[in-house]
Amino acid sequence: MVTALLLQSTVFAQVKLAGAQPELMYLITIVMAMLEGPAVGAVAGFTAGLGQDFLLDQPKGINALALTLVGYAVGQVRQYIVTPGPLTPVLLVGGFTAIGILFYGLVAFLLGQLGTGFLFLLRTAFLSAIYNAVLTPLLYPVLKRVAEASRASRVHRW
Amino acid sequence: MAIYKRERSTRLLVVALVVTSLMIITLDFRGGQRGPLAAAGRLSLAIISPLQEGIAKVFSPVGAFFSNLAALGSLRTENARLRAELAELQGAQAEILEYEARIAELTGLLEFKEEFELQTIGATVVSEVPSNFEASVTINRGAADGVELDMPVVAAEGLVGRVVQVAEHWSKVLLVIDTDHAVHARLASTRETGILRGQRERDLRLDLILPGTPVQPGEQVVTSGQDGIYPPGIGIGVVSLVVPNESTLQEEILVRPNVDVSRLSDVLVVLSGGLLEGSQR
Repeated sequence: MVTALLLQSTVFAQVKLAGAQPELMYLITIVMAMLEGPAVGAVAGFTAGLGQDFLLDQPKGINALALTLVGYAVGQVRQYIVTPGPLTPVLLVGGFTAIGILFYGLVAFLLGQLGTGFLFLLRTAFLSAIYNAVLTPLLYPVLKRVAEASRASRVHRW
Repeated sequence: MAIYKRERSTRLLVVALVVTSLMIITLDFRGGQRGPLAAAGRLSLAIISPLQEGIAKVFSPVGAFFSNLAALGSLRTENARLRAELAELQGAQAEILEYEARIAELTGLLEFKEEFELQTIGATVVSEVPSNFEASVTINRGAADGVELDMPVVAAEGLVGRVVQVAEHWSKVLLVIDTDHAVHARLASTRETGILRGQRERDLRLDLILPGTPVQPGEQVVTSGQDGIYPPGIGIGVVSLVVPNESTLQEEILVRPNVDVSRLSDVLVVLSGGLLEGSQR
């Protein structure tokens, strides 16, 4: 998580897609939720969100809330996917990244902490979702290995 | 039952996390920059910043590579645009240099006119007469402008020649270097006079100087005004060579003209009235 945060704030800060950066915390949370289920997804989201809020000095708690809910939602959704295709991770990452960023924007707006307009938020959500979706095929195998390595031996869910 | 218990515990976990998030949001919102969470944020920033700096230094070439790759298309377009702009600017610069040279030339003519207090009219050399036997140029002033035969033509550097043919709006000027051109000249130092004749590509030849007159290379040669054509005191050239001729006891004196006739552009035609009012030099 810390590595992902550092990479997001350094390397990926220079490699932008039409001005938008990838949201690696969303990517990690969604992938972990896909692999491990809603509980692990929620915890991963909370940890990632809180880490992003504190380490990148953003309004505290909002990312933690958004990512907790995203992680739980993805974990619940994936239980209903019987035969996952090769594009399933890409679509889930792209879709829930956009939803998560919009939710973040809504909460920040309610708290008076949103410094941009609604159209800019929409644009950022869309572009970040695409960016995350593009990175998914690269990072999904890596995260899958990490999850399998940390998992105790048990029945495979997929 | 086990599944139901797991579902319930997951929901409880999520609720706990959501409540914790809401509490953090509230604490941060109420505490502001002076709250404990803001202090924790600043501490985290102090810890993470050196790491960010180190990683940025290591990965900046990587980031720059991808960034440049992404910008390749726009870089090509911008490159083409900048090249076109550069070509345009270089053309404009060349034009500016030309204008500067022209301004300098015209300023020189103006100063010349003011110095000699002559009645003149400006003219531009439009062409060189294409002949092996005649050194002359055509200017864009003619009878309609008051130009007449035998009027002197000068440039900022000095004497150019005289008008030998006049049309309504054009005139032909015989240059000082032409073999048919001759002007009564004076050595600036000794004030001795002679006849200066053209020799085409060779320097002008000064004849009929009194034998024994001391002449040194580098000496100025000016018009004497005694031929009734050229006003006195107009610079013609500089003595370039003095060769004694033992058979005739007359030295061969060569004079390099001040005006480079191959680069003539703007000249002044001295109108007849000005000749009588020209200052004595």
